[in-house]
Amino acid sequence: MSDDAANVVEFPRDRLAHLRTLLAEKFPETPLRSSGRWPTGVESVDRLHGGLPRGMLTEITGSPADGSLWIAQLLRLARRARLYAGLIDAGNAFDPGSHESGILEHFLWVACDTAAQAVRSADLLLRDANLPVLLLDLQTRPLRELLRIPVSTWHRFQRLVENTSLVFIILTPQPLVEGVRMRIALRSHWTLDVMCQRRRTLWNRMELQVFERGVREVPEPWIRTA
Amino acid sequence: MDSHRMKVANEYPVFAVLLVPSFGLQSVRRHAAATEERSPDLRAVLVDDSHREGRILECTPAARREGVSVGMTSSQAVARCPNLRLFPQDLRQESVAQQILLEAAWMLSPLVESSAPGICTADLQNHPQREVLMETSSSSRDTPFFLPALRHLRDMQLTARAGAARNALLARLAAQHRRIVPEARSFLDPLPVGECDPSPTLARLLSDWGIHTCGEFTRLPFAEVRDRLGAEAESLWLRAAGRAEKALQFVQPAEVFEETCEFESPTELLDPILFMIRRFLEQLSRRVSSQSRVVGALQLSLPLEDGTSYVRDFTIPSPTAEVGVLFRILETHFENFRLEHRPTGVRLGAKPVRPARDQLQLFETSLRDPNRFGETLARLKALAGEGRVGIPKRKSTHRPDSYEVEDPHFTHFPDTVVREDDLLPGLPLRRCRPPRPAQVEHREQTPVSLSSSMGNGILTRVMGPYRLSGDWWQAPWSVEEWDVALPNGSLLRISRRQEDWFIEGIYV
Repeated sequence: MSDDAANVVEFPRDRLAHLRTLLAEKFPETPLRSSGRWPTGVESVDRLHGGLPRGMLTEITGSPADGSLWIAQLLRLARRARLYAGLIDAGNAFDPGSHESGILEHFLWVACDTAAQAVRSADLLLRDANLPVLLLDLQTRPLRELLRIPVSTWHRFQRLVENTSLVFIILTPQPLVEGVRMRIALRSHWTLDVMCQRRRTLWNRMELQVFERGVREVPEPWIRTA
Repeated sequence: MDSHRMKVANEYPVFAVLLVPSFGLQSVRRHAAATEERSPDLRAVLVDDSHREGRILECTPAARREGVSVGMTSSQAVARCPNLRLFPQDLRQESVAQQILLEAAWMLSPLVESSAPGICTADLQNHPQREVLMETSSSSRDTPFFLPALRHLRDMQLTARAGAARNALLARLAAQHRRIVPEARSFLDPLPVGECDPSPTLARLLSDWGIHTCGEFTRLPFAEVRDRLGAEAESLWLRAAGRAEKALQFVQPAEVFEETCEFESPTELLDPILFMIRRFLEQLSRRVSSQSRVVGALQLSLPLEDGTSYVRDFTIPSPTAEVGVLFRILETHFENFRLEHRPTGVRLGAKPVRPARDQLQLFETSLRDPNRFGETLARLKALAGEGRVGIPKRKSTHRPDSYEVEDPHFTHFPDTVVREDDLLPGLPLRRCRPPRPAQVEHREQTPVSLSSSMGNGILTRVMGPYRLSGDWWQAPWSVEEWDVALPNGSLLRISRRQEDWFIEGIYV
């Protein structure tokens, strides 16, 4: 037997469990404090949850079409609430021609080429804390690139936004962000027919599922936005 | 005019002069790195570089005590004073120092003349508090009227003298002696006549006649002097009697404040550049503040050793005179900063603007810290690249993906109303930049199958074509766009430019 092995102290299982219980009693999990909610205009989200949490991470997962409809909606909401907004576009894919000029006047677009560049840009804007609404769009990056983002990044972002009233939304192709307070999963089936329909109609057709940590541990059933 | 004003007009001096002795030498020593180089005990001279042997233009009192005098060659001066510090004349520094002197003079009066290098004359005829000129201070040799201007110059590393008198030329003499001269005769009579700048010939002649002071000279009858010695002596007599009048040519305040310096040798390091920028900002901030203004924009220029210059303009999001804020904006710019050639100096210009006094409306929102936001923008631009951070603006064209990115000025929220009816139909596109090449088979001009890195297969549905063209008068372009659906549910926008097909973007 080596010296190292001789120095290992083995705790009985019951003592380890006791230690865990003791630690849990002494240091209970600090509840995340939300600085309020920002109504989205989505009845199901606003009625049940009061809107998107401020000072918390919110993740929206779904297809690029769902994500771009949410981007358009959030920019309109920010415009209506007279709030400056920022979009960190990890894939340099945002198309100004697909949106009305009126909703582009109050928002900052950061066009990035990689997910890492987008994460660094988000870091700068979160530390700056001047823009009350911030969107990090990772939906157009390959999944393997997104999986390389260290988990600690999301925890750091949470530290940055808490104690602020920022609405910080991360758009991803699938659930990716650790420690997120609210996750909205989007599911829709789009065909070419929708290209002639009004955006309000498309928005109302979208199906979503909301999961909020600390409020409803089991995901809600799929529901329509309106 | 009431009796009080009449009394003031008659009794008090109406012209003030600010004078910087050894102006050229003080100008080049302003930004001397070491404190001892600005010490009054330094043995230093200003050398005219254009002269073959290096002619001495000015010298400090300490150098003069060692036997150095104006007009010597630099080798003669060094022979008399081995540890002499030689400063080459720098006309750009003199220009900056003259501007600073003018700014100080504008603290006395809005009507200011740049009389000569190192000399400014202020017209006080309509000054409401001219009687303050006659007050004396127990703590300073200078009258309290001049103290703010002299303090401003001292902050700018310039030592000046001030004086006032009934006419501009007399005021200049008064400034050399730091005097307020309400009555010319008693001041001028004991002065050596040489102080009125006679020509060497005339000075020698008067000396031969035994005339040494202005009083002795002006006791000669004016008409006789004019008839016997000519126009030059006539002019000297008037100056010596304090009767020479001169119309001032007023100048307007500069639109840009500037500081400049050259390094002794080109530098590869950032530290000396940042050191000088910090010092310049301290000076510029004081100068701008002295005019009750704040800095609205900065222009940084780095002359490079290949003869070109690196020039960069900075707009201050929330105009300010705070050195720390301004410095952070410039410092941020130097993150990840590279130049092809080494800088040989630094020039920094500051554009003054009136401080903003806007009242926000009740529900109007503004940025919490606009200047910090400006720094963040600079960092984002350094990270993502120029033209990739800002507000996207659609160009006035139908050409696909035509937009420009403007710098955000989030001071007032835009008032444009976006109505529900204005919203565009359909799904927003996610662009591929640049468009990806694709292989498309078509039948009767309609795409039927697609092969590309973003999807393959028989097209289940197509919509189009949407034909666009423009700029026929200069660089014509045309494009044919289609919205297509793939069997896996993907919705794409494809385009044909001439005979080549591309994927413009993705909907789903």
